[in-house]
Amino acid sequence: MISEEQLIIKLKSGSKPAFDALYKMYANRLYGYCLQYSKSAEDSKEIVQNVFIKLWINREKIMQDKSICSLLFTIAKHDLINAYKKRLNSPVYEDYVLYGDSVETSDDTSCIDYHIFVEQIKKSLKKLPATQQKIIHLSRFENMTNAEIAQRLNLSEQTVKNQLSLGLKELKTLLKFLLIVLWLLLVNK
Amino acid sequence: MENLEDKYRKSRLTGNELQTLREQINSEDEDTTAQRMYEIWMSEERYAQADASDLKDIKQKVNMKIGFKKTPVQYLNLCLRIAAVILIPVLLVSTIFLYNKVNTQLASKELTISTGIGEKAQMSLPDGTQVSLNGGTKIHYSADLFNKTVRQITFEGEAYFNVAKNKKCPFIINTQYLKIEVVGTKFNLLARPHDKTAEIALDEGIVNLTSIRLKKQITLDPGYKATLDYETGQFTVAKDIMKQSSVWRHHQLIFTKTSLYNVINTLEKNYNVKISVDSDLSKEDLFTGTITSSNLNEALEILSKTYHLSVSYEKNRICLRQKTSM
Repeated sequence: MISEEQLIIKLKSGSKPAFDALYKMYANRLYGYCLQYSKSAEDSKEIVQNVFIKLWINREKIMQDKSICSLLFTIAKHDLINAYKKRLNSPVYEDYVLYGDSVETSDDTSCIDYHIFVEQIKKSLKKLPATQQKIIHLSRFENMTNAEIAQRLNLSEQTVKNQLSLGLKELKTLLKFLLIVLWLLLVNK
Repeated sequence: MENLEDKYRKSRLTGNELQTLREQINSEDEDTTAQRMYEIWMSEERYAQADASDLKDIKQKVNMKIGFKKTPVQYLNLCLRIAAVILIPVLLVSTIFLYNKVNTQLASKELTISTGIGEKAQMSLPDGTQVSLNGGTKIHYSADLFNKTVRQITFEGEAYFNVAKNKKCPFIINTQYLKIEVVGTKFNLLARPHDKTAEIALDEGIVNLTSIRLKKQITLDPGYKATLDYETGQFTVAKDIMKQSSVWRHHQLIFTKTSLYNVINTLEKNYNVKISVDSDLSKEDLFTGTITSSNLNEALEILSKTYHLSVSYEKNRICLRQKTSM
């Protein structure tokens, strides 16, 4: 087993096997870490991917000689904070948290994952009328205000408000059923 | 704060807590957030094992971006291209090799075309030359050499040649006593080894004749007929007025003041039969006329009517007798 120190020296001179070894060493840790902040597999994959691409491109400028651990964070930092903030401010994430409240589980593990929640919302959304679909999509996934949606879709703000509340109500009913089924499956596992 | 963030990471926030955290993070200096995240990154090493295929997927994309290993599709593509580059010349070379091999196997054969007595045939040589063979004729050539630099055949019998024009590649006929060299002509050649003479009658073009015995060469013009005497090796050239030489092709035998003996002889050869004449008729009697070469009965009828003969068929031979009662 070659030490990380030696791997870094080799990486700096352009060794692909050393790069592969370092990827093996850190990829899972970085991915898991990103997932905790971004709550999205897609975002996490993209961050990990970009971190290692940048690591390879800038391999000759690596200053750290003992470990690249802190370097990986430095490279990931910007994208990671962006993903974190995006999630915190996302209405769908809030819906997810509120849904979690409503299920009132004493057992933490039975709560479904966020990405499954999003998947189910998208599935249920397709069963709604087209206008409601559009309004909910713009409101929940694009973070638009009612006024912005009204302008985009050429509707009055009141209509948007009404349709949104109607659509969300319908969506909640649909979701409740789906999520209860899912929750039952998870609990019984 | 740290407690809320910790709860967020473990997805255990309540709605109210989320709101609080959101407000805090949004108003907080980014470096402060980063510092907290950095400490967590450095202190926590264990995370749930991600899907191996997800990690592989990420790695593959990284490799692609930095120019290592192609994706499977591109890799396959590359393999196909390399295979094509290697296989196309191999296919070409083997095709040419096998083609030549098969060709030489075929071509190295010496070809002989012959007709039996009384049999006629038409043939084409590889250069497009048309040859009509009369009975008892043999043409021999090497398919390997024919049409390469010369078109050379050996010949005996009688045939009418319509030689395809090719100035670069002379057409040469070798017979026992006579060598004929042409470029593109039409002529009748009669060169049977058991005859006393060979005859060539030219319809078109020019031919060069060489008497093999005397090594003497003459040029024959169209409309003329040359006769080579095998014994002396001398040519006699005469104007071919009657144009009879190649009438055999039209199933006709033309006789001009020919002795009955010769007429019978020609018929025997043509029909491959034996004919005996039992009559007081002088066999030197001269006959002039046209007899068909494709119908023996008709031919015999012409002779019997002319000379008042009766025809009877005996075993293996045909007898012509003087009619007694008139």
